[in-house]
Amino acid sequence: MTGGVTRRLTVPATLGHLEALTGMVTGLLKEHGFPEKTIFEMDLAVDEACTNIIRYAYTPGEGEVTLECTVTPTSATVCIIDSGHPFDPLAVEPPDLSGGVEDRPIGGLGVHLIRNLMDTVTYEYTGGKNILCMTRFRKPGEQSGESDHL
Amino acid sequence: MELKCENRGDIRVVHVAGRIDGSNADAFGLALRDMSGGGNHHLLIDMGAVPYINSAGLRAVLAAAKNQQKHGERCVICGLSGEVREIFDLAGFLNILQVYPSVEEAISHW
Repeated sequence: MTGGVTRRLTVPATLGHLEALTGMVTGLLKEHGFPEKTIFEMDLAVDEACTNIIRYAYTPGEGEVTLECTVTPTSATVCIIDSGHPFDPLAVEPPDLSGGVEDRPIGGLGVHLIRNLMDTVTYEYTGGKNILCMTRFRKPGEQSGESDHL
Repeated sequence: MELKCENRGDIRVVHVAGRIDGSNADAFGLALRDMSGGGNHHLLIDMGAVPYINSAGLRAVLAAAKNQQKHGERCVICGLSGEVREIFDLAGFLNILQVYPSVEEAISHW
């Protein structure tokens, strides 16, 4: 196989639809034999990015989120598209992780996790849409092809 | 997602089970606050049955730790699975929270 397999889903931007979004990605990665750790990390990155959109991109209850997930033999990529307020998560300052419990700010961790768990993250605002793409490569030695798990 | 609590001496143990994601992290935070006893007990959060947590779930844990500290009580975590532990690590939480493998080990080191 040289090309990729792409699955696409558009849902209303509500927290009730979050499971459908993360479930589509984890399901596709499972079908293509990605390791549990990669599936966990992709799940988390999609959860963080979509939760941000659902909470902040639109007037509550309005708008949609589109998710496109492409898997190839060497990588998994998820692009998340919304038509809400322009927001570049890559411009968010990294959180200050020094200091004790009392100094630690509440918040700012979601984007930090995405940046640390994904191999590449790109953002563009084009045609009135936010497009965030996140890729995780298969590392050498990681399982490939169909899963052996029954 | 489910929370249950028990008292072990002056330690309130909160057992958390299930996935904590964007759809239920707020409910998790509220339930944790209700069960933590308003800073009248030490708090041990048992995450042994949590396969997944996102940043909003981490925020709820941090808020509980801050509240405990404000009242002069401890907040300790136990039972993190490999992946969940990695998320705690990436968030810098392993530097600020005491973490033990199990409830029994946490209590024996109290």
